Amino acid sequence: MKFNKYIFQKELKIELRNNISLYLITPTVISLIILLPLLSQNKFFIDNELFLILELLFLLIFSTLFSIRRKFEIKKIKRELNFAQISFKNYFYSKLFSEIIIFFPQVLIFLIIFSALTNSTINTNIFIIFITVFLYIFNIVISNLYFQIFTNFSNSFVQMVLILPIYIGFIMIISPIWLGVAPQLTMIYFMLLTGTTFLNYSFVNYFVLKS
Amino acid sequence: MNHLISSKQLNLGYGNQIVITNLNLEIDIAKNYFVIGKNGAGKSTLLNFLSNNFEGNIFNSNFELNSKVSILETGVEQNLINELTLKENFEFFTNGIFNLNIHNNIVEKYKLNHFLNDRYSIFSSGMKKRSELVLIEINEPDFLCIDEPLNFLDTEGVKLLKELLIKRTNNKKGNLIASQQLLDIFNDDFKVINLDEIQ
Repeated sequence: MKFNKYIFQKELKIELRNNISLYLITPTVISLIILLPLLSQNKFFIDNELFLILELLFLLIFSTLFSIRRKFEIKKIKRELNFAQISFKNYFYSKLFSEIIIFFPQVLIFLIIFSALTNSTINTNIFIIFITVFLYIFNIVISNLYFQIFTNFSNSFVQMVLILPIYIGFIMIISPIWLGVAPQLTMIYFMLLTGTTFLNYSFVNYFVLKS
Repeated sequence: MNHLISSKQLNLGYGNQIVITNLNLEIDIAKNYFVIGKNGAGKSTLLNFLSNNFEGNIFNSNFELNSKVSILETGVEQNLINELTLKENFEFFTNGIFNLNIHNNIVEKYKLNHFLNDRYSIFSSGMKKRSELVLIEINEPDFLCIDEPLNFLDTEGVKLLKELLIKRTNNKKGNLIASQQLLDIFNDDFKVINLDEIQ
């Protein structure tokens, strides 16, 4: 896996200068976090369990917004890569890394703000949460790149409809860990998430090497 | 292997529509070519195919394409990135080779030295084309494809392009130009490929 620092720098600069970037989506989602539970239960005191479910729900919305925030123009990217004489493989891995670097801190901030605003906690130790968040983000980013690059669904709505069930699957794996439903099974779910990540990476990597 | 492409039967198209039919072609890496043809004859398709920018279908074909040759294509569609400044674009597209101390004379020659910190999106079409020529001069690809060379360039720009092509020819680097008709300014060492006649 060869990393190209110029692709990484380019992606970060574009993200910072893009008007529809996550830096605008984040405050919108956070304001929704405060409003929606209040509206749903029509009171100012919300049960702690509901907050945890809502946290996963908003993480799902947040991930989907992240995925469809910018349309991939494959033809344009291909021209850029050819003109810069960068191989597709090199581009893919650098892009994957930059997407994780962009998304990971934002999800962490999102989770911290959610906990602070709702005074709720996640029922597992912080190390497991950190690794779980990382694996979740890795899966989200790699699935998104697969859909955007290797499929022909150019419409954002269609992409969202297809991507959402996959993200729900990842949320279902991490939810028992976060909710602390069965603490004795945390490691099993954790292993399941790790295995899924390896499987997902191998699947997408096959297409990258084939290309 | 000195050939960029050697084809006995090249068929290219989009969807079910064939644009280039049974094209027999031999292109040498170190020679200059001028592709002419009417609208829809397949000039841009051929250029895109050679420079790995082709997005259509390859039908029943027999060809050998040299993948080890570095090829750049400049044409009607822009290659550089709007969100970045000119300097950032130069750094990205040269993979960090661009150094203002070394390449300042090239940037000055194309009169872009005052725009290095400006966002590429605000550039005029002519300046965008000049920026691409700067990158071609820095990167020195083995083979260069130019689609409609006079588009967006003023008299001075055409003169710079001609100088670039002469420099490349002297360095034994090949060029392929595509246009609707033969252009007097480039006809010295160019072998003409008329797509209307050979298909």
